[in-house]
Amino acid sequence: MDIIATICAVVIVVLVFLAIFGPWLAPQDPNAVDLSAAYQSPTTGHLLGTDSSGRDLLSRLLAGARPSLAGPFLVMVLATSLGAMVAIASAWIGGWFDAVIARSLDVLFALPGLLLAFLAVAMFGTGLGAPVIALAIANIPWVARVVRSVAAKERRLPYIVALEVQGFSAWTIAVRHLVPNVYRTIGAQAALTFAYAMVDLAAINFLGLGVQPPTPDWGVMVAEGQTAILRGSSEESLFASAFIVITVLAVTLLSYRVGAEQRGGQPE
Amino acid sequence: MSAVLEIADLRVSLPVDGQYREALHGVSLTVAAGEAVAVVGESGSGKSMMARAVIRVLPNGSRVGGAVRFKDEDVYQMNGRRLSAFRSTGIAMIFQDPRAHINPVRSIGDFLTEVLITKQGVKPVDARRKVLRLLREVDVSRPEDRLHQYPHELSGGLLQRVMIAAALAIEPKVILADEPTTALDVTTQSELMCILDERRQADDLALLLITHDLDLSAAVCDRTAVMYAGRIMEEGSSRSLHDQPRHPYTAALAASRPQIANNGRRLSVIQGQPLSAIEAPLGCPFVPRCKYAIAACRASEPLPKVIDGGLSACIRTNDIRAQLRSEGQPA
Repeated sequence: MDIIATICAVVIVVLVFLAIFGPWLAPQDPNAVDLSAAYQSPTTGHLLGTDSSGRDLLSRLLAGARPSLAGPFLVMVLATSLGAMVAIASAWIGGWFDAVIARSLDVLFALPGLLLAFLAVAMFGTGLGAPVIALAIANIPWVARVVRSVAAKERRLPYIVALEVQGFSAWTIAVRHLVPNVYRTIGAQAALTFAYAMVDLAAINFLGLGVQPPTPDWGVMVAEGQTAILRGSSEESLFASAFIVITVLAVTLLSYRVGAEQRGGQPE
Repeated sequence: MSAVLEIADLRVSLPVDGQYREALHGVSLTVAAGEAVAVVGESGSGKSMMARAVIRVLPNGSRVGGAVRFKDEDVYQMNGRRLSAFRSTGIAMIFQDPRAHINPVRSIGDFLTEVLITKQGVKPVDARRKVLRLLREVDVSRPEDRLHQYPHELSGGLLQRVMIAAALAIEPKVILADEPTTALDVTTQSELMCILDERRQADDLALLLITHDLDLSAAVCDRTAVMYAGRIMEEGSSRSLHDQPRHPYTAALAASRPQIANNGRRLSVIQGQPLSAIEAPLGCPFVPRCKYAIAACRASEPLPKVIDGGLSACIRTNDIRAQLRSEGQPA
């Protein structure tokens, strides 16, 4: 039994639980302002202390799980599904189609995700929608490149030819037979996409271009905690950053472990 | 008997280093319902290429000339829908290596019933009943349990039985068997060939057996075609190929088999290397290895001629028939 993988899996289950039930778990209203209780250190009333407006930090962190995790999750779903589709079509059809897709992906590779996200915000305004779509597009080539290589290898295996001989359509073979044989690769790549998107979205939210206050997003909280640091209480930025780091670490480590297990070797 | 499968002057060219080279050089062969025809030849003779051409799964970029007709319909003129119907109901293929040709992550039950359910519209319950009956017919023990097992849990022989059951399940008119028993031990081989033969006679199937085993072809098939360098060198009743070969290549092949009567003596070999169609020189492709070759053999390519009930692509068949006959016999 792989201890690190188990710990990561437990952390991810807890995070998913928080994303779903966070708002109801919060002991207090995450947006209840109490200026008389601002900048408090952890006390029995506020287990993790309060922020500059006297809002309960624990409540804000728990309620913030959903907006913080929903963005990367959407990026992951969009980028993985589109990337895998493009990759499998490219590997299947081959020839000039494959070449055109490969060159288009190269062009996409050249565009940094954050830059694309800023552009989207500039055009469509702040909020979660524009950066999520921009990051999903920017992550497509990363998924597509890996999936294309395994799909191209799989496509040449005799069992695929045997299925063609049985009269199945390319679509049926790809969806029902090829994907189940390469889903681990797709899954590992999806997890990495989630981790990258988490970091990028946190940066976007930190800069105030994504989720807007007073929504308790972790990236937003890191930014809001800056003033508190000058006042000598670093709890808000620290705890919010810790949640981001733990999430990214758990997802990345688990994806490496699962990938290494599939290759049959020891994780590096 | 009308031919259910007709291969007429089939030519296949493959792109090799940017140039098209012919891998099948005008192959003609017919198989009637209920008939078993073998195609024998060395590696690279084009026999597997022919099987792939029949079912239209050639490598990308191949050029095809001539025709493959299934019940008088040209396979290469079929649209996508017709082709899919042809493959899922008209013809079934049994491959040499069942482990490589079955999806490793799907259960045996899925593998057997998928075509029936998705392509032939059979209800899942009926499909299950049908494949269980077929698994019993091909002597698979505990068929109910097998349906839930995965390919890696079955032995090669068992998996080949499963593949034969899958081929029979669609009730095809033609079965294309590409070296179906080469990877199996001898007892399993004879059992499987018996099963195939029984089913052929019971269901009036046409069987096209691709093999390199002359004895197997003689045991199972009425007629045998001998391929060399992408051409058919000789075709005739399987018996006549053994006893009265018409072509020097067939005679040499027959002589190079181990025979009990020749116990203790060295096996005869055919000198030189087999040629693929791509390398074949002008004239008869067997000339470099043929002990009966004369200057005329190099001049032009011999066309198959009818010689007492069979075909032979040799200009000297009539001159050397007696010598050929003695060649294959135990000394």
